[in-house]
Amino acid sequence: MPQERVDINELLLRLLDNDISDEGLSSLRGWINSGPRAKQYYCEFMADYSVLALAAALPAEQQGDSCLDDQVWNLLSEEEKTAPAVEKAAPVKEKSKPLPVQKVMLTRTVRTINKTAILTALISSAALCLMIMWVYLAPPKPYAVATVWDSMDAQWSSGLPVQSGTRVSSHSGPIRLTHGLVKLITDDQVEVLLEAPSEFEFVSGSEVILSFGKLFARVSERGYGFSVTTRNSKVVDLGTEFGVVSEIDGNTQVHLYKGMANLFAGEKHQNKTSQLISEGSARIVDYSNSDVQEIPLEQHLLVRNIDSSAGLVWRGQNAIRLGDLLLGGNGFGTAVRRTVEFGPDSCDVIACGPGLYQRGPGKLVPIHNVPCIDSIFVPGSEAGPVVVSSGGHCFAECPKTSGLYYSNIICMKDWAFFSSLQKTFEQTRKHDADSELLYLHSNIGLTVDLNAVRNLVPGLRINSFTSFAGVIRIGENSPEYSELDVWVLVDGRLRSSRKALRANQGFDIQVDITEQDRFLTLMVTDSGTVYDKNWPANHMDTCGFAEPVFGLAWP
Amino acid sequence: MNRKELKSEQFFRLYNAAQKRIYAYLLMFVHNHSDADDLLQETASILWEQFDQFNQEGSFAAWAIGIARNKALDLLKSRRGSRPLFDDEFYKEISKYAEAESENADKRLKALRNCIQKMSEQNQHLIHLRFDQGITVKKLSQTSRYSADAIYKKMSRIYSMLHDCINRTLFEWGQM
Repeated sequence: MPQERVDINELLLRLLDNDISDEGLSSLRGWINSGPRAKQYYCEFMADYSVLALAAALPAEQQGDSCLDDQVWNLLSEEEKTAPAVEKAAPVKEKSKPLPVQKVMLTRTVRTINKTAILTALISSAALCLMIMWVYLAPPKPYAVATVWDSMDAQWSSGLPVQSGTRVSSHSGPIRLTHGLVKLITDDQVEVLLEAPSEFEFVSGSEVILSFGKLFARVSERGYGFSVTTRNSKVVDLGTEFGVVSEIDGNTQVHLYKGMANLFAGEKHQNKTSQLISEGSARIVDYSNSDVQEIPLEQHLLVRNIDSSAGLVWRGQNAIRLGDLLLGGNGFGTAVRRTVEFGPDSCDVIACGPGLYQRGPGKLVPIHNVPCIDSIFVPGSEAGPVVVSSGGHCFAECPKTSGLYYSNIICMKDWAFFSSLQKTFEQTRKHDADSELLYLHSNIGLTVDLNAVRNLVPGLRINSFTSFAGVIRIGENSPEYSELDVWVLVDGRLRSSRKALRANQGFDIQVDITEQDRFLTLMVTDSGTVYDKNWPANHMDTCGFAEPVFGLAWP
Repeated sequence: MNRKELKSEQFFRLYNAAQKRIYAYLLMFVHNHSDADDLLQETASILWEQFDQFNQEGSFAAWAIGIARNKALDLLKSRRGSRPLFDDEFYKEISKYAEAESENADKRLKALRNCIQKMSEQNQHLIHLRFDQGITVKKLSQTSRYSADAIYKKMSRIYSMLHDCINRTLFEWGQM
């Protein structure tokens, strides 16, 4: 057994374990370039190693336990002592014929050395050393892999500005995001959302290391195979939307929102387990032992899109709340106000002031001070077309009404005190104490500008409007026989309605919205009840639109 | 069995048959078992995802190795400058050797098992610990009174014996 081969084996084993010195690597490089036999041997070695690593080398019955006792080592040691001696590869001596000898007189020559040549040699050697050191010791060259697409209140440790258009490079060193949110798009069109506090580094355009923090990735077809590496895991995309949370204590959470991904659990240089994670599921990888556990998917855990111009921070909510928008929020529950009220502000005939019957202005009233509201109107005292939006849309089948309205429109939180409505509402669902209610007395209509809502959620699609409409009885004096009609229109066309709705009655509104739809109108009419100044209470029919929301979807 | 299950079964049958070749190929390219493990898993994921595109009349192993090669080259490209073992020329040349040698992976496994049977119990035990149990040399040294250097040397000697034995066995079987 030639010693050289044993030495090469050792170097190759160390190479595979990533435990080789520079000197060893240099020797190996020299050997491998020595000729085709070395390359052949290298390949055989790797092939044998692969079968040893992948297939059980020993039949199960011959596999001992995994305990490493001294006895085995002693025996190995003994065997080593008695192993055949290592052969030194000695030069082969051929039997040679005696050569004829001729005496030659040598004249001693004096060698002259040019000093410039010595200097040149020294400089060249130094330059060569530097070049070699640079090639082998220099860190990988950074190259641009992604672009900052958007950010919100972001501050990071990179020397580069956090502004749209900034190019982010691979191997730039870990970047710590200390505040805010950043959206990056890689050159392969992978959207990466990072939320502070986080630390990350791109290894390449298709791999990012997340030392800690929260990252969401939306991977395009081109970016297929994009991966996120944490301290103990690697998530490889298989055409997905997924989120990774690298916790400060070392655990890793993976949440799969769309498609599939492959999760490799285990630290670098250790054996890993892998499993496919499918849409709607989540896993946690334990830092201490890399065990993988299933956990509930958290829909709103990670920021999935931002738009600084619209102030949008989208965490995967599938609905935007109309009531929250009207109260000055972002549609996702940020409103601080509890109520907002707006009306046609007309003063005519019956009486003037809040809570008294007023005649409608007879025309559409544009609303400018309430977000997303296009206009309001009071339907006329004759049946026929009524203009319901600033776009000129008409509701042709508008019924005849008294032409009077009672109060302004109110949007409010905490509507549980409307106990009759709450009771009706809770027959089919649970009341969310934080939800909003739109309060519309008979003979008034409200039109929502859908484009204004769309502008608040750029990149998302509004695909529906839902609410629960029910009659509100205020006090026991409100007569049970009074009725109202509820209408839901899109661009003036009827999409949902319920006529002659009485106390303790309600219905679900579910209207599909398309990209082409421009205005949504909610209208309540008096169902033909005639105003009676002696008994005005029968005209106090009010409809509550509970939890009015627009459904959202990612295109 | 529905169509999806049939597809899965077919994939796993083909993949299992080709897995050793793919891994051998990857090891020759990246010469680091940790990277090769990662690349094998990533390759497997891609193979499964793109299995519909696989031409059933072609060689699964050749198709798989093509994908593995691209993954390996991507990795090498991303690490350019960090202690490469070979020059660019060699990485091109290695494909030739790697494909030929990886084809022999199954034959070599057969011969290897035969050779291991002939080894001393102690050597068998060490191979079992290192490969079947997956205990690293570092861990072996931590749990014994032997240094990592000594264990590497021992493993190197064992492999030299195995290599000779495998080639001899393949020669005897007429497969070399």
